[in-house]
Amino acid sequence: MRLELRTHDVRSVAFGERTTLRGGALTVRKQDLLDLIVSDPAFAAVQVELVSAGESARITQVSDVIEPRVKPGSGSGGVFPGLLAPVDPVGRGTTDRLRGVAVVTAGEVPWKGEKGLFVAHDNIVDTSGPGLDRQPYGAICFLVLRFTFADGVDHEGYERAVLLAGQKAARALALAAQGHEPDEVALYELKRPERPLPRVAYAYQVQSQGVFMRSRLNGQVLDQLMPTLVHPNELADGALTSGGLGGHASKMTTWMHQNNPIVEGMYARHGTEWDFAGIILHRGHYYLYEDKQRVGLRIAEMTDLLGAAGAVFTLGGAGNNITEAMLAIQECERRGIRTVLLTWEHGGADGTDYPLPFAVPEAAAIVSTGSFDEAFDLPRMERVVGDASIRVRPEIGGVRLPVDGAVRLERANSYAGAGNPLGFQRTGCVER
Amino acid sequence: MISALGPVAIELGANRVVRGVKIPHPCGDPTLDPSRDRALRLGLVRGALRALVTPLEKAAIFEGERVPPGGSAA
Repeated sequence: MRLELRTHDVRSVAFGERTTLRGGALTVRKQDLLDLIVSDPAFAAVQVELVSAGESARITQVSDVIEPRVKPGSGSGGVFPGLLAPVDPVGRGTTDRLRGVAVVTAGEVPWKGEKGLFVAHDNIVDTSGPGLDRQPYGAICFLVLRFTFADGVDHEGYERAVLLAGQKAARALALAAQGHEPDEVALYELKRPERPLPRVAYAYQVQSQGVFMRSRLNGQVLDQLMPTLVHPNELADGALTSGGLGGHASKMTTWMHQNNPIVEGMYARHGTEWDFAGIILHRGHYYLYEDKQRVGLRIAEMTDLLGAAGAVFTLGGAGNNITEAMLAIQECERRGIRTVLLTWEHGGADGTDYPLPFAVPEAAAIVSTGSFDEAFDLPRMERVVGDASIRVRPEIGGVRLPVDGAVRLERANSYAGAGNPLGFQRTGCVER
Repeated sequence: MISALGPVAIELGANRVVRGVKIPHPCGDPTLDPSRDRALRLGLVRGALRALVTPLEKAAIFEGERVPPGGSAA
């Protein structure tokens, strides 16, 4: 299974008469995108806004971020199998990719009387300034689809509409690269090394808990996922997608799955230092302790069967989902499989509280991606793409926080990506 | 403490833990009809009271008592 990933760099975006890519300049015909999207009854209105690379802007109420990709020669576009494309094998052949631009789906999702943690979480993300260090995308261009949701449609209807709108727009942009010479070509293949090297698996946790926090594999919702094997190349073609409505700081967007830095890192030294055994995709946040034990056990059995000497763990979401990972780590270590965990920390405002909701003594190698609970300040951005305020503290029914000036966030939770689930961001910890 | 994550509760320092139903609803089960749910909740409270009067050397997880639907609080 060999994938040729053809990267086309995008340095600027502008609206124009046709959707084209020339010398790093992406021109977008707005009506082309609207034609793909507006007919969905979930939307009362759709706005398309562009953010230039490094522009001083704050995007509000983000649901997902998607990198434009397409598989040339495929009628359906080939990417996002099970959603835009049929459930065909992906991760092989060629894929065109626009680097430096991403589609953002955004807009305030009506709460419809729901309260507590299971609502659409509002968030912000900055495209310039210190906020760049806390999001994974960097100073790239963004095409923001901003939805006004229609009455008379339920959250399931909104979720489906947002998911497909983002993916269709991303595919449409990527089509502009067709037939162009790429700026970079990379080959991805898990060839077994010529000399034996330690095999290392990646235990990749995702969050999927209903309509607000959802992940899909080949289009299937993962709310009941038992650990399963995934080829890393499948991620490049969008077999694993994000979803849901709104999002908290540790939500993984589709862009993060498409560009997972753990996968990139494990590929980088595959065949020279280790033998990348593949991805064990699993879900945390099960409601029963016994279900958490089942997930932990299945991960350990699969890691063992893969012949892995080691496993890397990352978390999807924050909170009790660490239990599944910790139980898997414990069972792996008991079998002599060495583990390392990448995680956020709780630990309170000053970082001195107990940092993790659950831990096992076997989890001795842990990489911190920084605090979830530390307050941070963001300066005013020149432009707000979205609403001037967002809803925070859903557990008490919501309070409006103005975001059109300088903002102090008491916790990472309202900054999209700040939970740093995969280590993209420039956050960490210092022992004192 | 009534908790769906007994080992987690002990890890965080609770000595007497009663096994709760599920994380979103540790003290009851909204999928049950009201009389069964009431019996379940009554059993959890009884289990918690029993835990409180049980001498312990180290932290332990207790089960709720089994109460038939319609069982009395007495």
